[in-house]
Amino acid sequence: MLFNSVQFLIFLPIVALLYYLMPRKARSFWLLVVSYYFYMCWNPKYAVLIAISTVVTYFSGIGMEILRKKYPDRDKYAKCVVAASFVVNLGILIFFKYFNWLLGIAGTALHLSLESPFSFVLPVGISFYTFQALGYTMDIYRGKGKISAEKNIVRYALFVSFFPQLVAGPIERSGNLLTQIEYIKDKKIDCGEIRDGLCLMLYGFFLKLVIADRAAVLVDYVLEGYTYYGFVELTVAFVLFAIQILCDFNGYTVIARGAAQIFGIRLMDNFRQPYLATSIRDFWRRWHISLTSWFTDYLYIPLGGSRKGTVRKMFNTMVVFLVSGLWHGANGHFVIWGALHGIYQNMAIMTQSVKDRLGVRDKKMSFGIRLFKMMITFILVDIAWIFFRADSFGMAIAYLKQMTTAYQNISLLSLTFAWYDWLILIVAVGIMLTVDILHEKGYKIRQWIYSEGCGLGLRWIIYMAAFWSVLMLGVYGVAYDTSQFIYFQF
Amino acid sequence: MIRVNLFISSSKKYIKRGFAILSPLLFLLLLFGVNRLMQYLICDDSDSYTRLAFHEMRTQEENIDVLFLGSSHCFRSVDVGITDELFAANTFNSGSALQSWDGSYAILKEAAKKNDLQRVYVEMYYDIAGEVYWEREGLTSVYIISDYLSPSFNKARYLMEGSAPDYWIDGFFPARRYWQKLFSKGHIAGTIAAKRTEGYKNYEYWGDPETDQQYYTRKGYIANRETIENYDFSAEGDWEAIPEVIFSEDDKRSLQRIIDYCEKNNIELAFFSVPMPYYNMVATGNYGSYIEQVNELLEGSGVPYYDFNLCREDYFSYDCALFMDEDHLNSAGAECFSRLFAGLMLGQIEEKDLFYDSYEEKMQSISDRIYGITYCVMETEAQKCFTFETVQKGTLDCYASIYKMTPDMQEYEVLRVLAPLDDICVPVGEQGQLRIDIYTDEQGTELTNQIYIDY
Repeated sequence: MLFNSVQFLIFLPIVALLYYLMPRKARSFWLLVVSYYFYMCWNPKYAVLIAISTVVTYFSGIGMEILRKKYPDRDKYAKCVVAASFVVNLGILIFFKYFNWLLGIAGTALHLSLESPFSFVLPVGISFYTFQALGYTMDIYRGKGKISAEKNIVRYALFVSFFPQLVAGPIERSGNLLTQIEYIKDKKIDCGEIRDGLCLMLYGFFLKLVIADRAAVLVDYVLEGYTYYGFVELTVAFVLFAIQILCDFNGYTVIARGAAQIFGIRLMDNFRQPYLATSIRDFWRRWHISLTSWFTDYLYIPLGGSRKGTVRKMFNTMVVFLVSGLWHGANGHFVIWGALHGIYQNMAIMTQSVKDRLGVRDKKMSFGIRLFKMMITFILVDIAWIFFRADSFGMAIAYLKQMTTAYQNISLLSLTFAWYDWLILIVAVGIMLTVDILHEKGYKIRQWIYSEGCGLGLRWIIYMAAFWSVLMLGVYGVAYDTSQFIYFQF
Repeated sequence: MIRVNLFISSSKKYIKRGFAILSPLLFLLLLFGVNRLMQYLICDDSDSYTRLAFHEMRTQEENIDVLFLGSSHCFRSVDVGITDELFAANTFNSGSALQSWDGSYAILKEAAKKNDLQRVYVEMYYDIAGEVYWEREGLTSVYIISDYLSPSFNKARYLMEGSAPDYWIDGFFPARRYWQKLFSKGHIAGTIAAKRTEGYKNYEYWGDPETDQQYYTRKGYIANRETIENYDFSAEGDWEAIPEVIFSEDDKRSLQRIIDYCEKNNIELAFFSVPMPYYNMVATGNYGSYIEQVNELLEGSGVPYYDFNLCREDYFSYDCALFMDEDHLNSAGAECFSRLFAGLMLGQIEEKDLFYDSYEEKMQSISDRIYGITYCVMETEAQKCFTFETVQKGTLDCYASIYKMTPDMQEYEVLRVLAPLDDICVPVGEQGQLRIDIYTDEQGTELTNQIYIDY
């Protein structure tokens, strides 16, 4: 069940209505049931994998607590439990996501024709819920008694499978989501929260349907026949891809946050105006925040972080980005994408001393320099997106080669888009940029809309305009299939 | 003073609360309001027959006693002027293009809201059968019904069962279907201008019934004056035989609903098929299979099925002059059919006298001849080539003379004279018509068909 499908638009109000009508004590259980139903709409069999991950991490949390109470001086027992939890969870993840890929690599290395005995589709969202569950295990382990394990299996299972963020994040931390789930029973209906949730969802749909899916039409069209195009067309396509992937993934996250807020649960923000970043490091503070912070906390810091010298820091950074690339998919081009970001980051680390000597500080930057840095950052990120978007490393190189060697005099208006498609896209991206800049400057747009200052009439005009622009100008319906969210494949 | 202030502040609080409670309702109202506005601006239905028919159906002062439902075969064949007179009742033709039985059921329920229906006749064109509703892609036939159904559960059910979820938004918000038109000033201006005419506001037919070949008469009947001459029947592509299993589960469910609804509401129900040219029956080859499957489907329901393709020629001649194309009756045909239909329903004509017992018997009764042709087109860079096949009963010789006509039909070029009906090619880019004269003798004395094909 996709967020941008009619089924979801029917499912959500029914779930929410019953949620508020039923006794408060039953709410967690209800959300758990509908979360599993939501997941099983894709493939009922794969719900077993979530259940396994849930049970293993649930008991590992409780197990660690018992062991620590019984053997307070022997932390290695708890370590064993964490290791076991990691082995099982990562084992499932590697098996379903990487087995065939690894087999292919082994076959190539050994010059053997190794055929996979397994044929299965990748379970939707497996990377997300596995990381969320493992994050919980690590939190309990690291908490050393300060964070207690969740005893209630229903609440814990809901933490792992909460449907708004189940298939594409944000990868929540137990400190945030589990705590809120605990207090579900105490929550009263809050119309303001529901309204805010609905507004968030509407904005998410705007990002996904009006911008991302419209940009996707042109991106797919150009990249399918890339040999016919040159520098200008392919550059336009990749700039649009950068916009597409942001609006697609951020659109999903915003819808997820909105849907969760209807139930009184606040999910973390996964994006903070990433294309306004002035460096790659800054970009990663703003892009897919939940994954970046997961890797920082559970991989980068355990590897030593920046505490063991510059070389080790660069090595650790590279490892994190290579793993991040691999997390996105079992394919070399994702690894190259991760490696590129690792290289960008390491180059920044290497030039840091020069920058320090020149006294370049972000806060002191003029608008012009800031803009220049934003553009350079965007270009670097967009070059990396070429490797992300391509089906293989070879294809990415072919795109780059075509981009740098061919020049075709093709009107942009002949690239499958009618003039009004361009107009819609430009205006919509303009709206998104304005919202991002206002957020960056600290303005709280939604709060302003709800405030007395906005006024009732204007507020309702904004609601209607937003609703109708999504309804009329969104890309779906007769000519298009309901488009998948890009991050569902991870 | 304090009391007044307290009163004001508590009133404000209640107003705010009331507004919060009513806001979803206000949202829905605004939603429907804007929907109507959008529809007004960009949905141009100024030449929609269904709009006229549905309006008439809703605003009939007299009770509708007899309701006809079905596809174009229905709205072109049931002349309500005649059926009104013969049934001595108010009859109404609610046929619409490619109307499937789920559409018929939705219209039946809509009509029954305001009318005490006595009889319902549902037309059964074989080409409608076999649809899986959620696999429908071209939904025009669904929308021309749903757009004019009044907002109701009936409409919601029809749209949600009749199309896959990806299409629901287009169904419920018709303006969404034409969103590109938002960017066409000319279209919006034209639509507004068309809707501001008195004729549109008064639901009047936009053409001239005196001169138009096809025109809306009243109460859903659309008359057509065109006629077929010299067995000018042709169709592109292979004519498909009736499948062994023609009705989909969705069809069966819809038909059963119609039967149940009529039974529950004491409405006399019958199914019927309108006469088609022999060309159609011969080309299909196994039309009898369809009749058998309908009868099988209705077995035990007590609802009769009358297939007027089995009529004896004493009652209905099947002459070319009664048809407007390969499928449909023209106004003359509709008049004959309407009289015959009413006669049968009112018991003035005996069923056994009117129909042959089977398709085979009917086929035996018709003469051996060439009824028309089917053709396939293959296009290369330079040429467009036509391959022909005759639709005939019996073994007959076939000689054809083929002429290339200019678009204004003034001049022609002889391509072939009294030769076998083999492939013929024309250069790509040229436009006009091919005239194919078919004879059954080498001398060219017995002209059986004169067929025109666009190229």
